[in-house]
Amino acid sequence: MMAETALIRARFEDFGSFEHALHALSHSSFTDYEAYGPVNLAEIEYLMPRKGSAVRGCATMGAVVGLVTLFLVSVLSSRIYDLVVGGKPPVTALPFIIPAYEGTILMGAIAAFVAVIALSRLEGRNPPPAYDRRFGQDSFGITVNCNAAEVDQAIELLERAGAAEVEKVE
Amino acid sequence: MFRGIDDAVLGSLGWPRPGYLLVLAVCALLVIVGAIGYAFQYFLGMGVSGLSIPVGWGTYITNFVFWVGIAHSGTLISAILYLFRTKWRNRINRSAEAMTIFAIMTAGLFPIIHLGRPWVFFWLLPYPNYRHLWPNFKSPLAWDVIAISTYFTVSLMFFYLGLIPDLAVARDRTKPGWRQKLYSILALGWTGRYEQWRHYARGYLALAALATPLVISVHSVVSWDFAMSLVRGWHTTIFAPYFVAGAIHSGLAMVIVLLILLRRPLGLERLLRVYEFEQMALLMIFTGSVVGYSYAVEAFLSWYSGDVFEQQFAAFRAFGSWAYSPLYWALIVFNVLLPMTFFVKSLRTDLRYLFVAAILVNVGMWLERFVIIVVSLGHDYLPSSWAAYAPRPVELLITGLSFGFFLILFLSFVKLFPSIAMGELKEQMLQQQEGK
Repeated sequence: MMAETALIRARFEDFGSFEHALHALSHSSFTDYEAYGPVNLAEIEYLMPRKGSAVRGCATMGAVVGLVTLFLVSVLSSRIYDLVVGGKPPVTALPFIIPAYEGTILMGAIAAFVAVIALSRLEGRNPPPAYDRRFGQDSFGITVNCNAAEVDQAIELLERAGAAEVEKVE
Repeated sequence: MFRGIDDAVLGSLGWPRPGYLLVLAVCALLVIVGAIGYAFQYFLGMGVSGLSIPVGWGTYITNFVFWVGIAHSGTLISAILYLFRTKWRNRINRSAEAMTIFAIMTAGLFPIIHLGRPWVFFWLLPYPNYRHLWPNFKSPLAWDVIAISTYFTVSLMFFYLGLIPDLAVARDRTKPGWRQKLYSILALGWTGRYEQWRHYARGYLALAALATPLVISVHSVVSWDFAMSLVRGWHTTIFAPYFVAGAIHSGLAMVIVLLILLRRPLGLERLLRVYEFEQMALLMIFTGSVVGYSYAVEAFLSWYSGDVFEQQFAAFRAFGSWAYSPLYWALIVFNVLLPMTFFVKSLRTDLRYLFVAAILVNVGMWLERFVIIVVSLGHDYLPSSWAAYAPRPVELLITGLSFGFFLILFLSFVKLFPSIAMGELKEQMLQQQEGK
């Protein structure tokens, strides 16, 4: 039989207490928690269970694919449509660097963009129930997923860190 | 903590004031009149324009290069200044990015308008066909298409990615209705979760890093449309940096014009401070200096090369024509000398002066493209084929259409979406509070 779980949500009005709460959580037995904020939360990465991102890798791979693809498109299509223009041979590598260069940037950027959307799971129209609208505006938030038996402990930890509001959502 | 920022920016999305509606009506009139002018050209043919041999490129290509140039400062402000961690960009980057998108859309009208038979424009597209038509990848015109479409796509993604967190705030603070539905769809369910921010921050940085060389490459490629040909006044290696600097110069001037125009009607005086305009003016001193240096080098090399054709052409452009020479000197005054007045603090902090100066810089940059294109084509190696060109009414109406079209898009944007990047401004505020 699965243990009953609960979702605790805390709201913080300043970044200091939010960071403090995350610090306390990272040193506690809680492992399933999430942070929300209206600003880039890269600063708190060292306190979070998951770090880094595959976005740069995707962008690099996209850039390499774009470089090779556009260069090959230029070369191969010039071989098929081999009109001689200005007395030049249809395939000359140097001018094809320009399409390849643009292809590198285009595909790299598309890969980075798609990676952000896919990895962030930005597919829905409506935010989940754990989300508090104030998190996007002027507050920071933390949600903790824990066993029903640990609810009091989680609430106490968040309140002690300086949360303005703590509530059990589910 | 950040409520003031949200209130000010989202407050600007309210019902427009009469002045805004009046400007919108004038723009709509420009578009309608310009569309009538284009209808004349469409049904009667290109003969209604002033284009003829040898001046086959005239006002339309001038407008195309001008609008592509305008598009440049958006990504400069967004990408390059972001990589340099320049804080003043945070208040103007959204408007500059939107300006970039709309300026490229406006520029994109002109290759079609310039076509003699626009109804077969799809022949320009690369698809297997019996006419054996395929892009010639050795041609700067093919590079141009690839570069500008890449620039548009990357700028659009960069713009949209930056907009997502702010769209979520707008979604959360808007009353139920069509606006909230629109923001909900476009915000893609953004919640500001750490999981989202950690990918977002790296993606935004990656896009900025990719967009930076793109800014340099796109107008370089546009300049090669001219520099790769053997026309006098075009065939020079300085064209690429000269065009890039000119594009950024005109783009900055356009951002200044638009933001000064809009800060009061949108109630954004507190966020769009004189300081931001001052920084842009200082940047214009730099770009104006590069442009001035390019003009000087162009003239110097005409003489130093010992090429009699180049020497004759440079002399003709500066002194030889009652029609064109005043335009040449006007562009030097507007693009180089006028921005140098920004060295005086009292002038660069006076928004009325800055507004007028920025408009004149844009006039100067348009004239620069006009002089480059028209004077060179009309004054080639064969004196018997020399000719003069002046835009006909249809071309002027279509030029007006482009301004109306651009302004309608921009004015609609500032009333529909947050015109200041709230998320980045909040981050900057937080850093200030933490003493970073």
